[in-house]
Amino acid sequence: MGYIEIEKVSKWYKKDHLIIKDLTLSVAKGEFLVIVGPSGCGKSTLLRMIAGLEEINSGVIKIEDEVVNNLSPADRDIAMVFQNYALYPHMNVYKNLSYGLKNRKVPKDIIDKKVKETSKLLQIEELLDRKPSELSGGQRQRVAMGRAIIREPKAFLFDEPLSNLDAKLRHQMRLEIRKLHDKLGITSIYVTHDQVEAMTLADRIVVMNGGRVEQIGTPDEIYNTPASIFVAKFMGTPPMNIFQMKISDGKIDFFGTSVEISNPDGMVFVGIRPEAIQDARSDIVIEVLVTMVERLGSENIIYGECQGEQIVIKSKKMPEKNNSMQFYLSKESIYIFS
Amino acid sequence: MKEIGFSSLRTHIILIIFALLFIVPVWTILASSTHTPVTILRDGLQFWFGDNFINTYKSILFEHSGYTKNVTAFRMLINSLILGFGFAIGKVVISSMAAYAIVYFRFKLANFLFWLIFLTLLLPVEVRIVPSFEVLSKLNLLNSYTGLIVPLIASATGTFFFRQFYKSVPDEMLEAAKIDGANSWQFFIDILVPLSKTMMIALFIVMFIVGWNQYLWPIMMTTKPEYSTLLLGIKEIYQSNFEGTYLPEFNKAFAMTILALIVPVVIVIIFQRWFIKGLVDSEK
Repeated sequence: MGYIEIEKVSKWYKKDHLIIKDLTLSVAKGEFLVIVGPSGCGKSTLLRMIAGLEEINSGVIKIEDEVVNNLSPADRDIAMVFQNYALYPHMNVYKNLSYGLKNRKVPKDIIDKKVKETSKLLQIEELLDRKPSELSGGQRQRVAMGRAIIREPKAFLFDEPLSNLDAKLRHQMRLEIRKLHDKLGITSIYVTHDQVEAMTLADRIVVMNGGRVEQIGTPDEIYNTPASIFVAKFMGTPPMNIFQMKISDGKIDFFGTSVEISNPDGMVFVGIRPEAIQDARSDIVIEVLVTMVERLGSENIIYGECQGEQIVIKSKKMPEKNNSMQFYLSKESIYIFS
Repeated sequence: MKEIGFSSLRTHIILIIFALLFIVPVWTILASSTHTPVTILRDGLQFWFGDNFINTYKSILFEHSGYTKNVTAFRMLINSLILGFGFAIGKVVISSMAAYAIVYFRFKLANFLFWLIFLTLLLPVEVRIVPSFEVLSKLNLLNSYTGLIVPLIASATGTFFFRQFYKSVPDEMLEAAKIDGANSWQFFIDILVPLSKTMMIALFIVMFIVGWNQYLWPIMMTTKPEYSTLLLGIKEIYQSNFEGTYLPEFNKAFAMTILALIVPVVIVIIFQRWFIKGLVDSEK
């Protein structure tokens, strides 16, 4: 039994248009679960349903074995960090942090103690008298987290909390969120569209698409054994190369090299990660006509054509445009999706 | 020294002319009100203070006057203040709460009701004054502060302003408050009211002046002089000056005018500071 159980949950605004379809998911206690998916896949709606901000049309959500379908957000004992932080602009940091406790009639001296502890944990002690408008993006983010942490809830819900920050801060806050989680051990559900965040933060990742779960697994599982083309293309930058090929006599013709496939004969999709294509000699050799190169500093992303098919390669090489080059890959790095 | 250019000089001349246009009448009345009625009748309006200041103001504030000789300007001043504050505070409270209901409670017909309220903007008080009077007289509320204030405190303009403001408050604010365990009332008092403080003060200033300047409604609603407001007092004192058989006391009439003027000016000055302060440090 999980700590948070989502059983056959559906959500619709119009009966014929389901936002979330019959979704079942279980979150273990203390786990950091990241829900990732393209925009409009229903991930935020799912999170808001767990929070109690959206009505559940069918199915059951349980927190700690208690059905919470009809509980108000406050009674579910969860905390949420919003994308735009949703700090109360007229209250200083101290009041922002303590508002939830005050409403729960916690005695003043305990509130004071908790505010001190939380602000120390998040290193915002000097900011307690400031208003949110006097804080930087990163500081606001910390206050928003503090507002969640201070209540010691059963679960943290994060709704794309880092998407308003610049790249550098995002990276820093990502690490801090993970560190905080390791320290506090509170069950967390984190929604994001950024697969890097998902890979780095998660104990387990849920990949969602069109209101359904595509795959649930650890970051390694998701990356190494994607369950569908969608997952394969969604996780990893640049996305996996996918080619449609035909199996005949248990073999495919992979750009001139014959590769044995255990699948039955017929059309299949063949995937190969850009980073699996190497310079060093290996089983399969492909001839690529380079059309574009993006420099990333440590490596380059090479866009090319191979027998008329578009292909993307991550490599340390810096080829000239419009040149033909040889790249190698091993048979083991080929994914087959039927 | 900074050189004053021609255009700046021109601007200043225009500004000074207009400032004089506004100030001179007020000044004349203020100065004239400190003279004896005889001086005003004999020499016309005065441009400098006389020695009758204390006398005039003491007598209008504390001596009973009017046709029935049983109300002082002090009483009228209090009445006007009650009307002005009651009117303005009532409008702010009612319209902010009405807008809160319309924006945050998704009940059937909310939108329809809003537009219905909005439509009443098209109806001035004068149009509904007869039915309103009828209702209040049946409720026995003529000659009472309740009757003077309550029928006027619903405000379509105010409701509209608050509605627009509340709509601009991000939904996450409500959701964050919900998760923080605030109920609807706490959300309104703890979050929305402080956020809309600036608007409330602005609306209060405008509405206080509107309330203070109410004339038609009080004149219909009050027949007893104890409930008469300063504006009614001014009308009465000028009327008795022109129609009465006594020596016309224009100094008193002028003093009454000054009294009616001074309160709104003070209110604007006091609240304007808060208003500007609110504009400077509030943000959503």
